[in-house]
Amino acid sequence: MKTYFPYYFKRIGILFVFVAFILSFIGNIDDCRRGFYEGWNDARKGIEYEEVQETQGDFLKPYFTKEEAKPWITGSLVLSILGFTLYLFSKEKIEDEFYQQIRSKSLIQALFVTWIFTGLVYWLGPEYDLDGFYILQLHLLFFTLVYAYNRKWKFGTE
Amino acid sequence: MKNTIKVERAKKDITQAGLAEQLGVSRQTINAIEKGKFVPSTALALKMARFFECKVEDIFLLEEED
Repeated sequence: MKTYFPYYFKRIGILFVFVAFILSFIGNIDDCRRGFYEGWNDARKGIEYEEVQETQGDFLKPYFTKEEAKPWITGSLVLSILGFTLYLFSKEKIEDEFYQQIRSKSLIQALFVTWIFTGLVYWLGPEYDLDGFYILQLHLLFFTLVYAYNRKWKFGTE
Repeated sequence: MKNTIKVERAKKDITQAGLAEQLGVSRQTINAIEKGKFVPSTALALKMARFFECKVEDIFLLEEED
């Protein structure tokens, strides 16, 4: 599978994913704090601020409303997809048929892993909102991991 | 598929990195081919044969399961 971007796009991709991680952290800071103080199960239910205030007072007052958090989360999603795409479809330092074949194999393997994972989530945890761009993001994440494994360990020298 | 690249390299006294440079591929590619993890394309096999001054079938040998 041929690639289209020059090698230095890999670094830009990594930078985008890093920024996306920060944006995601900011956008989800309230859920993160709530989950940390109240436990995973309560945070998962998406308890509203008023309910939190009754039990915790102003200690867990959210930084953002859902509307305010949305641009951060959307920005994070778009940047991460862009970043993963740039990283995965950029050439290696010395690009050749070996890397093209590994990339192609990894893409197929990651697709299977994504199907299985998504199926399990729909089956075992239907309350999770896993759809659309999140599945694409998940696929790119699995692709990154499988490609790194194949390149470094399965077919590589480490 | 077995191959005799390591032997041919030793005859020519050339490292994996040197061979990779001559053939325009990465060192990892040569290593993967040597270890039998990757079967190269016909073009790359022909380039290798030309470099080692022998036939392709002298370098790459079919096994029973191939």
